This record gives sequence, structure tokens and C-alpha cells, in this order.
Amino acid sequence: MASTEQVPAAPATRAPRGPSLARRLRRGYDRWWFAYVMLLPVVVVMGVLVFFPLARGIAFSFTDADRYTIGGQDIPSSYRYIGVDNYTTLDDDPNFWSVLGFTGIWTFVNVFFHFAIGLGLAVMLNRTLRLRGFYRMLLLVPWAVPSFITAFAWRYLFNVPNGFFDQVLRAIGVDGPAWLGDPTWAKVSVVTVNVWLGIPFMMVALLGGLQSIDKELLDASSVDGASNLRRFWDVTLPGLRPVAATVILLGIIWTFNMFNVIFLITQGGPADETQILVTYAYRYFLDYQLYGVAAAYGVLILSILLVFSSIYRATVRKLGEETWA
Amino acid sequence: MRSIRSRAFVPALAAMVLAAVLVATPAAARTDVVAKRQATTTITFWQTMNDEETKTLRTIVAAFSKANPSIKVNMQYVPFDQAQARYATAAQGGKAPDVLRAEIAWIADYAARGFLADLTKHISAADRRDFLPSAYAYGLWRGKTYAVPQVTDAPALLYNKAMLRAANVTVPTTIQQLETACAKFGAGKGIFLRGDAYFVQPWIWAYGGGLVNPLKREILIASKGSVNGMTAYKRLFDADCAFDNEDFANDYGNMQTAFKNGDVAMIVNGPWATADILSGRAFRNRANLGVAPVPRGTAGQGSPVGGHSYVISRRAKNVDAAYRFIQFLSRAQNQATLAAKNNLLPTRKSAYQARVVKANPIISAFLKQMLVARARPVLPEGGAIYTDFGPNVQKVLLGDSTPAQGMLAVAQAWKTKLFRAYSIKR
Repeated sequence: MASTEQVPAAPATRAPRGPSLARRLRRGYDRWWFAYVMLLPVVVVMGVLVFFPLARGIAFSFTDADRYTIGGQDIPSSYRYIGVDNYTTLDDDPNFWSVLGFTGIWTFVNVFFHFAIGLGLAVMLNRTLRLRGFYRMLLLVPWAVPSFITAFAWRYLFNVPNGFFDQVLRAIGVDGPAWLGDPTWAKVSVVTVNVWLGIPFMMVALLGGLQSIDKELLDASSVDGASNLRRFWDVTLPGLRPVAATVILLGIIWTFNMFNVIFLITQGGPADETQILVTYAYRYFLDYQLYGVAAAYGVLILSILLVFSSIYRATVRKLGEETWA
Repeated sequence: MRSIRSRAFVPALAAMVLAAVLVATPAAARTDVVAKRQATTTITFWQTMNDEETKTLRTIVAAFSKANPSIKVNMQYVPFDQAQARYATAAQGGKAPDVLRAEIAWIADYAARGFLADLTKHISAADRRDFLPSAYAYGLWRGKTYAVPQVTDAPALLYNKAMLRAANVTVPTTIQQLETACAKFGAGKGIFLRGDAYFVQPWIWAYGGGLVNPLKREILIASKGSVNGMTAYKRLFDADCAFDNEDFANDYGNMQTAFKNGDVAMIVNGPWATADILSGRAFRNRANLGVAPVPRGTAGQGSPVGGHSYVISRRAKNVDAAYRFIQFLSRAQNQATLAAKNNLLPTRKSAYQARVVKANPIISAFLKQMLVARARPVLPEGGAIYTDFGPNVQKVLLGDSTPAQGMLAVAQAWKTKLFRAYSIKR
């Protein structure tokens, strides 16, 4: 696309019946063949790793593929096209709506705290203070540790009665909650872990955003007599918007599909109360091996995120952020 | 200039491919010669044993390697709760290990899907006669043999003899006695019950319930007996004397810890757990561990027969070598070693004749449990029945649904996801 626009034939000078399409293509090729050759590996790799599996996944969601019909190795496949049945029967599963609901709550609460706490820490670090490098490094630890190790460590901390939290509470004479055993507390627990995990990314990204805000704007506003709060609200926050808009969208997509924390800490339990869409799809995929249904879950997740991202982008753009696309 | 280059490109590529083929052909021939001289085969083996058992297994595998220097065993540990799905995924992609230690409920599924090598001709008549029929039956699918049984088991009632004596309690044989016995202990000290479907099954059978009946194509989990069993399980779970199990995600480990430390008098668990239990504080005197059949209910008793077998992938490079390996692992002498060291129940009749096995009091106690244990139906779907069963048991135990609602939810999940042609018996 970009290359054809740069073919040196301005629309004004082009005759109504200008050079034929074939000739234009030839000219474009003659001029840009090298660019196409350079692009080819990327296109091939993306095709093999992204577009082909995506297309197959979408195709599977319209079939009755399961453990028997999928085939494999030298076993022929025998699944059939069944239209949209996998989608229309998604809510036959009694857990479907509660899983969908918790996925939404999970995503919103997590990203809210990621952003709020990450911003707070970024503001605190965005000034000259002693040992700043040390604090920054310390705050990056959750990000540096592989998430499955984090999950197992927290699962141990939450254990009742043998975990750290329960032991400490008991030592001071408090009967602690059933961190992973009570549906509500289990939700609080997994959200806590994921908030802890997600803060460093927000903090680093927002710190970068803060440092790119023009110092002169801040100085000018204080000369004009703006209070600290006003300066933060009217100069710092608008200045952060390009960065914030992007990292919030990224955070939402990542959190929506955050498999490790839930699967490794509660496995969706107790009583399926902490399942999110992606962990629930896993159950269909690996436990029941109903590949068609699992693929429908995948497409559902993709569609939700696509619709959300386009609305989000449109909203952000309407709010006056033209530089962000 | 460019067009010349691109025209030259195709022949150049062809020449390179040709050259590669020419180079590769003699190389392949050479490897064959080398292979014949050393005749080395590598067998990949996925095993799922716990830490204590793995120690014993390593010595047995080392003995095999010594006796068969031409066969190299590449043993890999795969966590038991992940192995079922991982093997299926690997087999579909043509990357299955040569040998897997499979839980008995997985075999029919794998065999029905064509993942496994048919071992019917490999197993000698003498071997076949020697295996316990109940254990051997799990390896059969449509009349062919796909597995060599390694170990058999059924959970039993494990108790701390000293604690029972101190509370002046005799070993309960009925569920009613179990409830009164439990009540004699202080809060949380009587019994540890898990929020896990596998351990609810003895209660379901004790009250005349069941899982599925493949002959009548019926789902029995929502039947009256099953609901009564679930109700009784919840009654004991909620009792003051039952350990406050507030963490289903970690309750297997917590159960073991509480029993090992003498914090709780009774648990329900299988022979595989005894080696770990005997390492605990409360069982420094090994004789303190008591094993009794799970208590009876109003309609009988039952404990799920479990166990593990060795299977060989159909696409294994060398099925003969792989069979030699699993045949070695399941020799009477090696089964006896695992039995003596880890209190595991052999699957060969001859292994029970070994002195070390006869002298093991835990094995003889578990044998009594085996006599009243129930085999689960051999069905390809057998491995997936706990996927919705477990969460619904937890729902009942948390009080989010009644036993009747919970068991009906299990039945409906089974009907939509596993047994579409079955009817739900109420």
C-alpha cells in the first residue's frame, strides 16, 4: 500500500486513462522489488506462525472436532462442519455466564490497580532521591521472576492451615480467612497476585512517560501559580495520555488472557469460582478434548478483545489524542 | 542484470537441493552401518511416580541398563496430573514418548484413538496368567491387550492407632460407626476429608449409588444412592470433629501433613501415600499406622480400584526393545522391590509370594481392601469423568448447592460432554 502511493505519478498529472494497471504494477515492482524481497521472510513467518493457525482455529470452531474425529499422525480426521452450533450452545454450560462475568471483573479490577499503583510508584520515583536505582530494581522483581514460580510461591503463602499468612494471623490470635477455599476470598487472592505481578510493567512504562513530559510546561505552570495537584491534573496527566492509553490497552489484553496465575494457584477452583474464559477453554481443550468448542472459546476471546480495542481506540481518539493510533 | 540473477536463481537452488540429497544419501547409509555395529536404541520413558517411588524406580532402570547395554533409557518425569493430556497432545503430533506409565483410566481412551501399540502377541501366556485379572482388564480394549499392569491400588481407611486407643475407639467398619468414632475426638482431630471427587466415591457406593453403567447406557451419579452418599459425605465433612478443610487447592498435601504430624486420627488414602506417611512424626513407630477397609454404608461398600500400567506408543521406533523394557520393569522380582520399599500392591500373583511382600503388614492390610474394591467401567471417557465431578463436589461442600443439585449438575455435564447417548437415572 505505502509503496504504491509513492509511485511518482501525482493524481493531478495522471490522465483519466493513465497507464494500465498491469503497467503500474510492473513499474511498482521494478522500483520496489527489493522492499518486497526484504518483506518476504516476515510475511512467510507471520503467515506460518500467526495467520495459518488463526485461520485453522476459526475453521475448527465450526466443526465437531473432538478426541475421536481430530485424527493425527497417520489417523485420518473425520470431523464435520456443523455451522454455528458450537457458538449457540456455549451458554448450555451452566458456568458460562459466571465465567464470562468473572473474566470482566478480573480484567477491570486488575488493570485498575496496576495503573493506579503503577502511576503512584512512577510519580514517587520520578524525582531525585537517594537509592532511586535500588528502589527501581526492587520494584522490578515481580516482573523478573517467571510467573509460574510466583504462582507457586503465592499458593504456598495462601495455604490454610500450613501457609505463611494463616500462620502469622494465628500467631496474633486471628482466625484467618480461607484464602483459596472460600469463593470470594479465592477471587481476592488471585487478583492480589496478579496485581502484584502487573505493577512493574505499568510503573516502568509510566515512568518513561513522565520523563518525556516537557519540564518547561511544569515550570511555566508553577510560575502561573498552579498548585501541585493542579499541575499533576492539568499538565502531568494529559502529558501521560499517549503512553497511558497504550499500556492500559496492553494491560487489558494481557490480563484478559492471564492463564498462569489462575491455573497454577486455584485451577479455577474452588467450585469453578475463579475460572476465566481462557482457563475454562483449556478445560474443553485438554480435559474434554472437545476441540470445536475450545476453538469457539478462542474465537470468542479474540472477538471480545477486537471489539473492545476498536471501541477503546475510537474513544481515546475522540478524547483528543491524535498522535496515538 | 537483475533478471539474469533471478533466472539463475532457480537452477542454483535445484543444484543445491540435488547436492544436499547426494550428500545425505551416503551419510544415511553410513549411519546404518554404525547402528548395526553398536545396535543402540534409545527409549524415551515418561514416568509419573511420586518422589519416594521414583527413588526405587531409578535403581530398577539402572539394573535394566546394566543388563541391556544396547538399549538406552531416557527417563523423564511428567507430573501425574498433567500426563494424561500431555501424552494425548504429543501422540496427536507424532511426538509421543516410546513408553508411558499410564493411569488405568487413560488406556481405553488412548487405545480407542489409535495411539498405542498392540501388545497382545508380545505378552506370553505365562505372564498373562500371572497378572491379577482386575488389573489386566484395564489394559484390554476390543479384545486386544495394550498395557502391562504395574501397580494396583484402592484407597482405604488409614488411622493412627495410638490416637484411636487414647480416645478409646475401635476401628469403624460402618459409616455410622465412623461418624460416632470421629465425634469422640476434639474439634478437627477426627478425620480429614478432601474436597475431591475421587475420595467421595466410597460414600457413593456405600449408599447404592454409582458413576455410569455402560451396559444399560445410564448415568448413575444423580441417582438416589449417589445423592445419599454425597449427603453423608457432607454430613461428616461439616462435623465438628472433621478437620477444617479450608483449602481445596492444597488439601492433598494438607491432609498428608496433618496425618503425619498426628493432628488428625483418620484419613482415606491409597497405598501410594504410605511411604510418605511413614516418614512423618506420628509414625516413627511404623506399627502405629493402621489400615482398614473403607467403612460400609447401608448398601454395601466400595473403594475405587486404581493403578498404573505401562503402555507403548504405536509409533515407537523399536517396539520390541520397548517391550523388553516394560517387561523388565514389571517382573515379579521388581514388583516385589517396589512393594517392599514403597508398600505398593503388585499386579502379579507370583510377586505376592515373595518373602518381602508377605512380610509387609501394610500390603496385607490393603489386600483386604482390594477384595471389596470396585473397578470403574473401562471406557475411553473414563479419564475425564472427574473434570466436572470435582468442582460440583466442592460446590456441595461449600453449601452453594444441595447434594441433589450438585450430583444432577455432574450428570448433566457428563451427558453433554462425555456420554451423549446415555440417559440420566434419577
